[in-house]
Amino acid sequence: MSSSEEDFKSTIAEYLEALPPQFCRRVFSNPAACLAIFRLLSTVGKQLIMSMLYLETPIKLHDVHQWARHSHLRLLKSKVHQLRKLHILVEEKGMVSLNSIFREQLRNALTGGGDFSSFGVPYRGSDDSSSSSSSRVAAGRLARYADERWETILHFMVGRAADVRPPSDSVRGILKMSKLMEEGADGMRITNRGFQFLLQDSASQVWTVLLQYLRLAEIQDMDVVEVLNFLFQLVSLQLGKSYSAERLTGNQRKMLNELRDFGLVFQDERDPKRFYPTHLIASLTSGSGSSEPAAASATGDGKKDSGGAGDTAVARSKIPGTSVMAKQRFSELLAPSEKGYIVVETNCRVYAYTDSPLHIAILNLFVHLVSRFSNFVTGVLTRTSVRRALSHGITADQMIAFLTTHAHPQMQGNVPVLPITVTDQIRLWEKEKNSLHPSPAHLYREFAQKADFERVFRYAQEINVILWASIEKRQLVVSRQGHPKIVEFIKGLKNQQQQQKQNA
Amino acid sequence: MSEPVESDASLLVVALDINSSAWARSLLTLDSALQQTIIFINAYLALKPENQLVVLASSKRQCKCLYPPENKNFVPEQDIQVYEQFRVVDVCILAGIKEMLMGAEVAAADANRGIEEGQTLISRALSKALCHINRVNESTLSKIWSRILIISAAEDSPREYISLMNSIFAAQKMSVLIDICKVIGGDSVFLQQAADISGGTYLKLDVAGSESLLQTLMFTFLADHYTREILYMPGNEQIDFRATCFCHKRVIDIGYVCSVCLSIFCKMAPVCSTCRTKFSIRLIKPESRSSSASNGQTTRTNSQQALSVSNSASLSQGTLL
Repeated sequence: MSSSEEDFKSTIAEYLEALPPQFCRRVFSNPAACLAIFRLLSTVGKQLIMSMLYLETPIKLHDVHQWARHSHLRLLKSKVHQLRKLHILVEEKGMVSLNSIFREQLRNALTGGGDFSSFGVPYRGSDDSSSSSSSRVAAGRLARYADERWETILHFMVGRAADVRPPSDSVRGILKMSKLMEEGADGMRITNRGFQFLLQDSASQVWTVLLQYLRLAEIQDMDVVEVLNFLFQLVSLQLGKSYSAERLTGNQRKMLNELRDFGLVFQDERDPKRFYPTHLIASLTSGSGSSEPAAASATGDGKKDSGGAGDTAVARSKIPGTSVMAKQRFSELLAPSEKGYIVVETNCRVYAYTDSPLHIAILNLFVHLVSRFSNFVTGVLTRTSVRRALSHGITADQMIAFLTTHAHPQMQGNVPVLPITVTDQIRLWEKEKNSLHPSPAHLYREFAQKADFERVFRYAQEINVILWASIEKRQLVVSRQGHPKIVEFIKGLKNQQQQQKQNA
Repeated sequence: MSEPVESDASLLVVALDINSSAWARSLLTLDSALQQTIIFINAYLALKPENQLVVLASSKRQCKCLYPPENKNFVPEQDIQVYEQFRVVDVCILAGIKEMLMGAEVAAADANRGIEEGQTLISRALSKALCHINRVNESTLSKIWSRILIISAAEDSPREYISLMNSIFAAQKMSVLIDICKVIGGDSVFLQQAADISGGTYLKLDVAGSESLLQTLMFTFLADHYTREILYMPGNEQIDFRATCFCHKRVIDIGYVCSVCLSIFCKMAPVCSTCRTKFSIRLIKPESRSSSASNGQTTRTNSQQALSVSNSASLSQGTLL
């Protein structure tokens, strides 16, 4: 779970890294964007920024390195490097400081200055004069709406399109562009990437979609910075509040419409001036928010009062005030689909308490389903079924993560959640499949002299490009990356020998 | 005790000392210190959405919890300038402190019975903080790393010594760090011990110099348990470990220790006021102790010492560590 999440976070970070500096400067000119980017960074990165946020003068890079304990110096250096790639940290003649725009706007985010509407303009309607009951009704509806939309898309991907309405053109466009689906002879077909996508938690899925959206914006010649700023604004909105759509630019309105198709925001047709963010987008900058509700709702199910771990934490993060009401309010928002429903036995049998065709279809990706009842499915994890999933590009970790996140409340108490025999078996099957690694290489043989071979061999060892070597046979296999260097080296060697001959 | 990992949430309790007579003596006004503290709190909330916060304010008479607010449905006025989560906290803190200060002015009229002007109820804030941390730990399954930050202005008040020490050891047991930022005046003997025992950081701010409160807070006290394993924390090498006596609440270098309950006294007494043990007069009287033994032989007040004389209750004198 965490690994896949890291992946997707790093991809949004990679996206930002790839932006040219002048773009970054424009993105940074928005406090909401600065805060959202800040939240995506690692803990140490955040601490570095905060340590330097209120420093007026640049400090020596060497001094920054002194902050780390000796055993963690490498970690600190890598974080500093990451910040520099994101253009947050600026180095000049061995002195480092924060990007001045980023510094100013992050300060603004903390103190409440700067750009007027960067955190979204709350909607002030006549009927919505701070009555909490009305927004509460909307909250339940919002969750249902978001899940319905999102699941429709996932349904569509697993190919149960017969009983669901196909999503809009823009959604299909994005699915195609992200190579989650491809155009086949008989309509759209899911790809290997699509299979992997299905097994991820919803936060990672949303990130994937948003990243695709950014790429789409590039292709359509939309202003990327505008799109990016709007995205960062969206992720910092409060769940259960409505915001005004009146001040949005044309592009932003267009985006809003398309994100609505994904269920990320909600707009009432009768009242197009306001929109609500849904839990899908509001949980993005809270790192663990995606996985925790599932676990929390599962454990806290029977005993509402004590509450689940994530339940409290997540509820507090979104709804200020640590009241019991807020907790309950959040558990209401939880979609039924996010509660655990899978039981795995040590003999690799899988029981799933679900009637959702989507869940069954996803399980069918790597479980051999045996029987189906009205609200219950049984199946077995077999070598064939797992290998089939592996051949689709789904990894063992993804399968294990999926089973763990959706484990039945009764399983949640176990440590670890899944039986070790099962997880080990899945990993073994993966290893079995991956025991052979093809990699492009170059073979060197028929060295005339043993000394020549040894010199080349030693050089190849130094630059670490040897894949295989036999000293007796005087044969050497080097990787493709190493090939040009070895060729250079041998040429140099020959030249040397010729020169020596001439001299002699 | 497991190691902190990067994804763990933390719980921070900020205890603000708003003793007006102490702040009156400082170059830094309470107002600007508050502003800087609030920025720090916002920065803390910005670190992780899961981070939890409690803010306590303590004056010389009362200690109140400002955040989370008592009124659960507290919804401040809409303000589009500030991030929603921050604003609720900010409004709560400022309103709460204003209320307390106004209340203090009214109450100042009735006599300051036994209350010294420049002292604050730090022990009360600490025990409240620990209660809250305990409640959070009980009610959540996932690990939450807790720490307490005391922004202290007032001087030590010796009458608080016992309750303060009890709180500190409780914090140590719960693996709660106690960070101290001393803004005004000289070093605090008790709070130095609090930080040292609990593994936190003690910093005395030199406001008259170039140090700013905000930069210190951001640099030192923002780091969570995980970060502290990676980065160096400024520490204090010289810590004053002196204790106060239980009888007159004075900070003492040398005193008498009850061998049964380890209570500390500055003067000899025939009966221990804490555990009611009667000391044998023979042992108490200085002339009854062999002069060579008491001469220059300093004993540490630890449990071994107490055990060695366990049979006959005695009052042993020694330098307190």
